[in-house]
Order: sequence, then structure tokens, then C-alpha cells
Amino acid sequence: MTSILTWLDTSTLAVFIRESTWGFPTIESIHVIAISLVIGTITIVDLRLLGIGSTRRPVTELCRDLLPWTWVAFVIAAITGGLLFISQAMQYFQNTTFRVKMLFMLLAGVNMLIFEFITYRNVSTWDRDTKTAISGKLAGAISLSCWFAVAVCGRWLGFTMLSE
Amino acid sequence: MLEFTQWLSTTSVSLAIQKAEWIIPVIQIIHILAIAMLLTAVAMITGQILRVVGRSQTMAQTGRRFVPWIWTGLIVLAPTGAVLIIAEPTRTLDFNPAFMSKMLLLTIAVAITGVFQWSLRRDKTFWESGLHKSAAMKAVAVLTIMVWIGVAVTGRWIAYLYHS
Repeated sequence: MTSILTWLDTSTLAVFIRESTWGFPTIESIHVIAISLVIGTITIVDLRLLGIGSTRRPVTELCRDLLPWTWVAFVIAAITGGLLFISQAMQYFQNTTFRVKMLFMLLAGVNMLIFEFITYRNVSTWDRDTKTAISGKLAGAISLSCWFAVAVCGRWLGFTMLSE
Repeated sequence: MLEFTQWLSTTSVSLAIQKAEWIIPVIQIIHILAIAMLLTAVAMITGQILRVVGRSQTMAQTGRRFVPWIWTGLIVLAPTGAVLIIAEPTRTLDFNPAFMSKMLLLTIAVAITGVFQWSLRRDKTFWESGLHKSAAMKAVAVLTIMVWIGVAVTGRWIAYLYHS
């Protein structure tokens, strides 16, 4: 692991991001915009699952409309996040806030898989209801909490890193 | 301005914020969550004009759902932003080019939001009248989302264009 991190840290790309004046802020700006759209679009779906917002729209229609864009934004956030990570791979890897952030993303992912493959199977019985199924509410609440935590850790992370 | 910012940074309010190390990160977290909410709302509205989301919705429905997110976002962003300025006045008010650009773009963005809301108040079906299909309106939609993204990006760059 250490050798991989060291290799990343000393790679040409990492050195460029770390040492250029505009590299890190530019990638970070794109990361912030992308993660904003990831969390925002997921929040819209989560609020629907909780029966709080967009209740006039069927759950399936809202998911079909928004989630493809969530994925587009997520891919951009993941690529830019990866670039920020390699700029100081060793330090990020050892950072507790970073690890907690990854853990919450993992939890959000597991929650999404359970929703997608189990909860979503009987969605047709409550698709149009304001009062959604309890399993749907649970998925929405867990997702909202996890992504909130990801955002909190993400911003906090910046304050825990030692600058060069 | 330098005298003013130096005075502001020595006021008891500013000193109190500087002294409690957790305040700035917490305020920034709230600030960034409100940005996510606002940017997503703008993306939903402009995305609908561009016909990439909300195709089943009328603009009146989308406006009712998301314009309040923009204003609520701004209501959270203004005081949290003000706290960040008071905490470190020299960072922004001493003619930081990123901060000045941000304020300029923000003024334009708020004006566009006001005009959009006014267009819906005047005529609920305004956006369904075929107007949204015109290339000019699509250009306005792209410009609008770019201005808001510009606000977020210049905001992030405040930290990098400030030399203590």
C-alpha cells in the first residue's frame, strides 16, 4: 500500500497538481460543482421518497428523470476527487476525515443497491402515493444522512490537511 | 479599504470568530450545502428550458418547486458569507479579484432569477408558449447556469487569490 501511495505521490501528474498554482483550485472547483449536483439531485429524489417534496410526480418518473444526471455528476466528482487525492495520496489516505468520508460514500452505495434491487421491485404499488412505503422512506432517510455526512467531511477535510 | 478591514478584523465579533477555531469550518459547511441546494435548483430550471430534465413538467410547476430553493439558499448564504467576511475581512474586502468577480456575477444571477420569477407571475404559461424552444432562450439558459457556476467557482478561488 505504502509503495502505491508513494508512487502516486511522486507521479508527474501528482507533482503537477501539487505544484502548479492553478491545478488544485481548478480541479477542486469542478469537484465542488459536481458534488453539489450529485447531492442536490439525490436530495430531490430522497425528499420524494420521504413524501416531503415533488409528491405530484411518480417516484419512478422522478428517478428516470434525475438519476442519469446524478451519475454524470458523480463520475465527474469521482475523477476530479481522484486527481485531488493523488496530489497528496499518502496524507489523504492517513487522514481520518478522509476515511470517514469514504465510509459514508460506501454506506450510501450499499443503501442505493438495496433500494435498487430490493425496495424498487415493488415500487409500482406506491409509485404515485405521497405516503410512500416504509422501505422507501428508510432508503431516502439513510441516503440523505449519508450524503450530508459526505459533504460535511469533504469540507472539513480541507481544514485538516497540512499545506505544502 | 485597508484601514476598514484592519479595523473590522480587530473588532470583538471578528476576534471571537477567529478565536473559536470550529466556527469558520462549520459556517463554510452550511455555506456549501446551501450552494448545492441553489445550484441544483438552477440546474433543474435551466435544464428544463434546455429540455434535458423535467420534460413532463410545466415551467410553472418547476418554478414553484425550485425558485423557493434559490431564495432559501440565498437567505442561508448571505449571513454565513457575512460571517466569513467578518472573520477574515482582509481575505475578501481588500479587493480580492475572486471576491469582487463573485459579487458582480452574483448581482447578475440574482437579477436573472428575479426576471424569471416575474415572467412566471405575469403569465403562467409564458414558458410553454413555444418560447422555450427558441435558440435565444436556450442560450439564456446556458448563460444563466454558467453565471451561477461562476459565482461558486470565484467563491472557491477567494481562498487562493488571497495573500496574507
